[in-house]
Amino acid sequence: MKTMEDKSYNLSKEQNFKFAASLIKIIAFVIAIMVLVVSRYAFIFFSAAMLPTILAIFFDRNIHKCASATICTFNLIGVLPYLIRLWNSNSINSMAKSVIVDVDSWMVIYGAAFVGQLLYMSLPLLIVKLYAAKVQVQTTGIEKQYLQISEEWGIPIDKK
Amino acid sequence: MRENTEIYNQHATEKELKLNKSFQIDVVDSIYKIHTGELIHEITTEFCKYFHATNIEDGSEYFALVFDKHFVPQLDVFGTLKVNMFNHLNKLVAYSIVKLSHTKATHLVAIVEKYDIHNNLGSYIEKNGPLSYEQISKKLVPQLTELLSQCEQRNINCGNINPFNILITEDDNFVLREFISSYSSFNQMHAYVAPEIAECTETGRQIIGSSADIYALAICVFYCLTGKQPWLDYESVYKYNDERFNQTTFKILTGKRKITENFKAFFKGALQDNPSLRWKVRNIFEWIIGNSPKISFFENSNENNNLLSFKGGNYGNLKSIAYALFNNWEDALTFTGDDKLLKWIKRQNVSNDTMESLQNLFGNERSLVKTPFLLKSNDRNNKLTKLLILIDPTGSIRIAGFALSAMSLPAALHYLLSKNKRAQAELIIKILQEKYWKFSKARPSACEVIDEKLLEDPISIYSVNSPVFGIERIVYSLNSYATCLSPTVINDYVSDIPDLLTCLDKNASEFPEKFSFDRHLIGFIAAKLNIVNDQEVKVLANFPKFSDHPLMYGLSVLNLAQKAAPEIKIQNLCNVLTSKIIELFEEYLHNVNFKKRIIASLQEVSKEGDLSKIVNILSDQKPFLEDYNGYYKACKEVQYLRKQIENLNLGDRVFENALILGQKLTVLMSYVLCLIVTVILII
Repeated sequence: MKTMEDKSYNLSKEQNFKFAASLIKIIAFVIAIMVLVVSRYAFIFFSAAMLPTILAIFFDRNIHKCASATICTFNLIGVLPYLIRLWNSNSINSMAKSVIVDVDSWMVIYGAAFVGQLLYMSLPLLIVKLYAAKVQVQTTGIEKQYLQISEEWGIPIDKK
Repeated sequence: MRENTEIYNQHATEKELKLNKSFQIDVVDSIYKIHTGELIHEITTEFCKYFHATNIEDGSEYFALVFDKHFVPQLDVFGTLKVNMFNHLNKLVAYSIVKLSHTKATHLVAIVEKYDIHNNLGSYIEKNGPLSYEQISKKLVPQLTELLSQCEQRNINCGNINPFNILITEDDNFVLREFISSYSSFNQMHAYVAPEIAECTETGRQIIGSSADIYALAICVFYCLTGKQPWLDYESVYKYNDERFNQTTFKILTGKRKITENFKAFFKGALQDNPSLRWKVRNIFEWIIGNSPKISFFENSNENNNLLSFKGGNYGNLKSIAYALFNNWEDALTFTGDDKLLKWIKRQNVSNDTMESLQNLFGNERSLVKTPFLLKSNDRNNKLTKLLILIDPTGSIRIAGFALSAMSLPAALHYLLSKNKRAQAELIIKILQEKYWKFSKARPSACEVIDEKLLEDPISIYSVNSPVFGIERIVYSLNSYATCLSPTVINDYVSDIPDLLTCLDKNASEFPEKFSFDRHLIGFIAAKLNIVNDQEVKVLANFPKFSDHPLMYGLSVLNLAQKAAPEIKIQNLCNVLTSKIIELFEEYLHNVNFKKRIIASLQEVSKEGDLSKIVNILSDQKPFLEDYNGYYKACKEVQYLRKQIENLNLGDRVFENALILGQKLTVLMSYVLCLIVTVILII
């Protein structure tokens, strides 16, 4: 009974996380629509800027879609300053054209997405290493206790 | 002459009995040399082997009877036969315990006068025809009656009277062969077995008094007189017995033969089927001097019209129907449900007491008996056994196709156990538990016992699974002359506690690895020490795996045995026992420190050769209890820890979980970063 409850609890947690991972993409999509309404050039800029995210969504096979969520977030972090600049300019179209032709802006935007990709590749591995070290320490302690009791009471030691 | 002879006092004997032990191999009492290479096959029995023997001093020849361990010799009878002069009985010269070279085992050996086995009355008659009237009435009957008289005075049965066991001496006198070589009537020819013990198994034919011997003597006289053996004309023993119980022995043997009135009177008295009506020894003496006693009553034959039909036969008296019912046990179980049996019994002049007992037995449960399948098999057997005793009170105890006399219960139980016939041995246990002999009031009778307490006391403590109160114990309690049948001591003649301790100590030093305790050893000691309380022999009573272990039983009973015979040193036995207990503790104790401590203590006290100190060490059950409880607690804890280790060591799954956690944290962190950047940009 308890296992069933645990399973359904885990399932709902998983679904919540999936939703959270999709949230940033929904936000990006909403922003895209808003940009399309405001300016066609701005939409072209935004679409081109979000190209790493589109590729990530396409290639992300992870069940939680963590890679695309991370890349999308960092992609947005890179795009956001330019979107704000567009919003604050007097002519969004002309501003959009100048940002599009500016190489630095593309370096920043794609660089941010690349940082996101790098972070996604390295941070989970680091956490795995830390977690494994913690497990090792715990196991050693319990094994010591296990051996001590087994030897004291002549219980055969399971070497598996 | 007898410096090499040690005197052993037998325990549990009523008479003061001394059994010599010879220290010279193959020599009895330092005088009689047994020629172990010269076995005499013709007279060797199931229980004793006959060898030639010679007197070392004068070269005179004897027979040596080497008894098997599975035979319970009546040593009091041996003593009586040796000390007293019995005319017309082959003389028992000596007996003692001797080690034999060919078996390397110790046996009870008896030395008897040598004789020519072929020179017997049976062979003589086969060759020369019947004896003359004078030879029978002036020699054979007086001489054998004198022997019977001497035996009767000393409560001894012969049980072997038949022409082939009666030897003819050089001076034409008659001498009966020794009868100590087997149980009473074990090897007796069927026609010579008295009616009261006719159905009995071979080991179950011992009765009180000389009535069975008188019957055998009368049959013997008949054969000597006529030279005929009409019993051989019947196709089976059953047919002959059926006929003799229906017609009476007297009628079927003498009916159509010309026999003088004098001998007819003899047969009429001595061949009575009912032992209480049969002549006594004094009556035969009266007949010898020509003063025949009157025979007032004679057993009914089926000549009367009052016949009972059963299984295709018609039966005219109680003895014959009892015999038929016994031999057709399964049919008899249903037949007893028929009213006509009781009605027929009523017409047979049975006493009011018997009738009342029969009414009590069946009266209240007629309806149940009529539908016998409603009664359990045991109840039905029980009722039939009682019925047979009531209608044939001089007969034997009969149960489920197995019959024996009350006096032979101990020896028969010993025999069956030694032959590993458990099913029949359990029937004897049942007889002992039910005390069937009490149902017969007839004297003499095959149900008669000398002292009921001797049968009732041992069985009162019987417990089927207990080594101390099990069947082996009952056997040794009932047979005080029985030697210990344990394989550990089977090569030695062990008949009492000092013998046993000496032998065990010797075996422990020679074959320490083979040493073991079995139910025979424990039962033997328990019987000799008359242990009646289970608690006396329980070491570590709260721990069945220890207390029920044969080794622990062995330790506790040996401890009691050592207390009973402190003069016997058992250092080797103590060492072996200690090492076996240590092995046991190595296997069953858990706490390493406790184990080391207790083993060290045991090794320390074993050097003293005192079993009571070992028992003392084991008397404190507290540390054993702590060990037991601690072990189970430790097991649970270890199981829990093992599970924890397993959970932690799940390898790839742990890696995967950690990786997913890392990915989720990365997403979360990027969200937080995005939020911060957005806020900064907006501000």
